[in-house]
Amino acid sequence: MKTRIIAPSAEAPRKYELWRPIIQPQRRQIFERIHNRIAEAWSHAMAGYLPGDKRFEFEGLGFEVFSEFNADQGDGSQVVVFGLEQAQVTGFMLMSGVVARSLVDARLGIKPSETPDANPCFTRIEMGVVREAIRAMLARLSETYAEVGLGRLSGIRDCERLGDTLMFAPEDYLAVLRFRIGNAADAQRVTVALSSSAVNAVHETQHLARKPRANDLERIAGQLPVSVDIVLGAWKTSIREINRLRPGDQIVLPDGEDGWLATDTVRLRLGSIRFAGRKVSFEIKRSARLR
Amino acid sequence: MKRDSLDPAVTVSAVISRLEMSAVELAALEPGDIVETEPQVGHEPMIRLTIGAATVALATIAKRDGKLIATIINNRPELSGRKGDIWKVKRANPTA
Repeated sequence: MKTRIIAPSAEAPRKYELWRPIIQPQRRQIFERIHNRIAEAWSHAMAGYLPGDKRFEFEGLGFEVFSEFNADQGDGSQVVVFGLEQAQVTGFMLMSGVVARSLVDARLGIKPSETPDANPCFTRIEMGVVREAIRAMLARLSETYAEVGLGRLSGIRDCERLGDTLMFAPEDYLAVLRFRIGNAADAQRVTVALSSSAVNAVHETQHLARKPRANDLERIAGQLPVSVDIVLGAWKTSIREINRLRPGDQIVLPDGEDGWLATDTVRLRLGSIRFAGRKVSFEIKRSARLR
Repeated sequence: MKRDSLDPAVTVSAVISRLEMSAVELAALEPGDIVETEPQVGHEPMIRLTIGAATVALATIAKRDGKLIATIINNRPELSGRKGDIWKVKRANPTA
């Protein structure tokens, strides 16, 4: 009989806990893609609340037990709990106090403090702005969740402490989705947490998976080559005259002072044309009306 | 009747340069900007006489007595193979 020596410091083997969620990698990737889109939707919808050119970034998906998560809630954070009836899951959104302060400052044009307070105080107006921002974010969240089969958010309510919601048992596993504004070092985080079963309830529709973003289409369309003519001038004549043209015939052309740029027959810009050897230069004039 | 059908009025344009640029670059052109063009290597500056999108004749260009004179060199143009002119934009306001 062989014996195996286990070092005293080694971790004792644990039985597998049957209630731990089983998540397929493919489902996880879909869930992450969906939340990347939510970060983009928030960045677009919340442009008036975000300082400078900062955007929401999706940091990643993790799984945590509610009791551990609950213990980490900062004092100044804002919590909104909600249900997703279609998927039979519950969830919440937690916005740190630093984020709430930053959104209020940007919205109201207040100069931000150099040392952000983790537990900021808000006036009634400022708290109204925070609630408005949270509602706007939840609206985007609801739209996306409805598209992917989780259903719309319902039963939304504000909550001071996560522990007071009575919606989660301490041992419940949560799918935790962390977002940040700006750099990781700024510690401006928004967290969305859902019952972990939500990961397996989503379906990425073909429409959603293949739908290119509007700004992608604009970018692609903007790169399409357009044939542009620099035109010295134009005149009316008859087809008979055109047919009579023969090599060696000469035509006096407009001098180019009133030329234009055109695509096909559409005039785009007026300008003056100059010649220098093989080169032609077209200087664009200010023009009120083109056809 | 046959004579009439061959004699409608058409608008002929004198195109001094044809080039390709992206829609974004085209849209970004501002008053004061200068688009400089030059024929590709192996091509000479030339005038295209066009009706709509069709080129009906090609002509060389010369300046005589202060006037621009086009001399027709081809009234049955075969334009395949002729590349668009090369070009660059000099911004009126480079920081914009």
